[in-house]
Amino acid sequence: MTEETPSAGETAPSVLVVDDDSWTTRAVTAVLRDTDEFHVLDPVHCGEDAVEAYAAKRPDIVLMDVNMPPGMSGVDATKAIMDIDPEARVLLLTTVSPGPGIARGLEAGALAVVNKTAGDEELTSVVRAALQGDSPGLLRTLAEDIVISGDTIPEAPREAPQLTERELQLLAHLCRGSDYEEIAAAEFLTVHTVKSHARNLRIKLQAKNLAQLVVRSLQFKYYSPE
Amino acid sequence: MSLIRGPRFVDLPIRLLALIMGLTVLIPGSFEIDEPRYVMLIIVAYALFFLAPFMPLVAGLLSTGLSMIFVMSYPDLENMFPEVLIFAAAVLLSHRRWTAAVIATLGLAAYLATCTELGAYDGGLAGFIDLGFGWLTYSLLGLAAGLVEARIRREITRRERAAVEHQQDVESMRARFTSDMHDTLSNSLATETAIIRTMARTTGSPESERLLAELSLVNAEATKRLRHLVSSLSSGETQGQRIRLHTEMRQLAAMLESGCAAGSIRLSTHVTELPTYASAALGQHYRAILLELATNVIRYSTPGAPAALDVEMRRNSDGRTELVCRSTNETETELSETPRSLSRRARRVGGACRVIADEGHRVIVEVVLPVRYVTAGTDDGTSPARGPGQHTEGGAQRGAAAGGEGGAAGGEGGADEIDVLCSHDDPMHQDTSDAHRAGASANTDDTRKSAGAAAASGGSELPESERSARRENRIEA
Repeated sequence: MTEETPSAGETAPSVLVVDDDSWTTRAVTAVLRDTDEFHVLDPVHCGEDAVEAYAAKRPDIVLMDVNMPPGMSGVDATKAIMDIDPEARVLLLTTVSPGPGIARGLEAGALAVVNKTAGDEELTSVVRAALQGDSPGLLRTLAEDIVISGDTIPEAPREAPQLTERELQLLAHLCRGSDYEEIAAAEFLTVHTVKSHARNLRIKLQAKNLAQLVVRSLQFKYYSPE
Repeated sequence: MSLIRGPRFVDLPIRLLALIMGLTVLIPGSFEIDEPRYVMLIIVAYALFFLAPFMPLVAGLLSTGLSMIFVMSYPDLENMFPEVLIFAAAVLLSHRRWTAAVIATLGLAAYLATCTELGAYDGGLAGFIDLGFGWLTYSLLGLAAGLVEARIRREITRRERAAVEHQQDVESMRARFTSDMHDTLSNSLATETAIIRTMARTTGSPESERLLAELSLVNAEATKRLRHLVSSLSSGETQGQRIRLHTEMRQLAAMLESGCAAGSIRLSTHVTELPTYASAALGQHYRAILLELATNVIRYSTPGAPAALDVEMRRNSDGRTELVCRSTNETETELSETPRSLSRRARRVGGACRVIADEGHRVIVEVVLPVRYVTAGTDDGTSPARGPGQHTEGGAQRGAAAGGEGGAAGGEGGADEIDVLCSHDDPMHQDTSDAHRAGASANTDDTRKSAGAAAASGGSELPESERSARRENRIEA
């Protein structure tokens, strides 16, 4: 369990798995190692170790569990990692029925959530997508996950940003996790225009990434997963 | 009765008092003379007692005016209008209508001044003491009634608030327990999944792999049920809520592939374009069907051979739309009968299940569910209410639904939800047990027997060359 993938060269994107459950870290790292695409670092089992490991090894992706009692939670560890490196890419590891903490983890700077019981293909594809950067495809069930988790979303400010009908439609597409290409095809726009709208939405709603855009949409009640 | 009881706690005694005072007109000696005009004025005065509890200001103003008329007409006779005026002022005080009470009191003062000016019965110091004492007594009683009412209301409000706060505390505690419980369960199931996967990577026995795959499916199904439960708890929606077919199918396909992969079974799922939504009843049926098909694949497919699970919408020769779930896999044992529980489930909704086995030991199990498109008019109203401008998944399509059976995926005329065409029983009461059986029981053990009764071929959607090579066993609803 402690040995790193020998076949994955040092140039391969590095991944750090953080979970207090050793079976989970074992299964997730095995899936990622089997692909030979990633340099999987030794997993760690608490928030403090995650921050330390990140500072020392600067992995390209961190897969972070949300709750790791009794130590530092995934939310606080994400915050600390974002303080060290604002460009860090953190994915929250959740369960199919996630508990509280997702919204706060996303507010802390996590890019998306990934189900720790996801199939091999899905898990690796999410990590691959996250390596490419912020992608709406990572948000497929995020809105529903946040609602299910019972997270308390902070009250929205009284003055909601004024969004056009087009922006609201685009926001709904993004919250549903449609890719830029899918949105462009559905709305008869170019991908460039869709990305530009998404950027404007992020500015208007003061979201650092697309995941935070979903949180804001729920906060301002622009979108509600059915 | 409610007229006498009134909206306030103090209304009943006030109105009863007014009733008693008004009825004193019937006591002998109420009329000093029998002149009709006098009699009429006295009757009006007593009648105003009845009006005073309901419209105190009107009664006060009327009695002020009429008392002036009375004193000018009959200065030496006893006037009943000031009594009404005093009573009306007291009622106003019980309502805490301060300005109106002052107006009524000023009316009484004007009456006293007039009486004194005219040297009438109620004039002078004697009249002032007599009426002043009456006014003071009634006013204190009215004020006390108002204060008692206010105190009762305050207490009710306090108790109501306390009850609401207690209820909120209990709800919050329940929500916290539920949240903790589902988090614990969910994490335990996730750990089990991780253990199953880890074991699947190390085991080499095909039989163990099959068992692990089945275990993985059962685990995944339990996890999914937990999510449904938590989801309905979070949203406060009923279990009968329609489901998002696209999302559900994607998750289900990933779950089945992942479960089969744990048993080294290469299952690929193919889902053609489907409507966005399905009714809860249909959702439960197809979920259980797919789970059972996948379980059969795990149990009976040849190790290492690829297997497939297809879901599609199609229109049959009658023009009806059908949801078709089909498993294809190679097997070393031959199949003679259709899986009983699959057949039963299909029949329940007017569908059919059939098995097609070819010479090369390839087995196709196909379950056909007739469906109908749900239109806006036939919506059962379970859709959640949405605020203006709020976007929900598929919300745009929902409003533009159109009727009619048939049609390809995506719906005819914009209908984007499907439901079972007919139901011979209440699936909601049976699905839970059936779905569990689909994942874990031996309900298909009797289906893989030696080749026996080959049924007549009838698969019109299959190529003729294939059909001729296959034996079918079809059970029609």
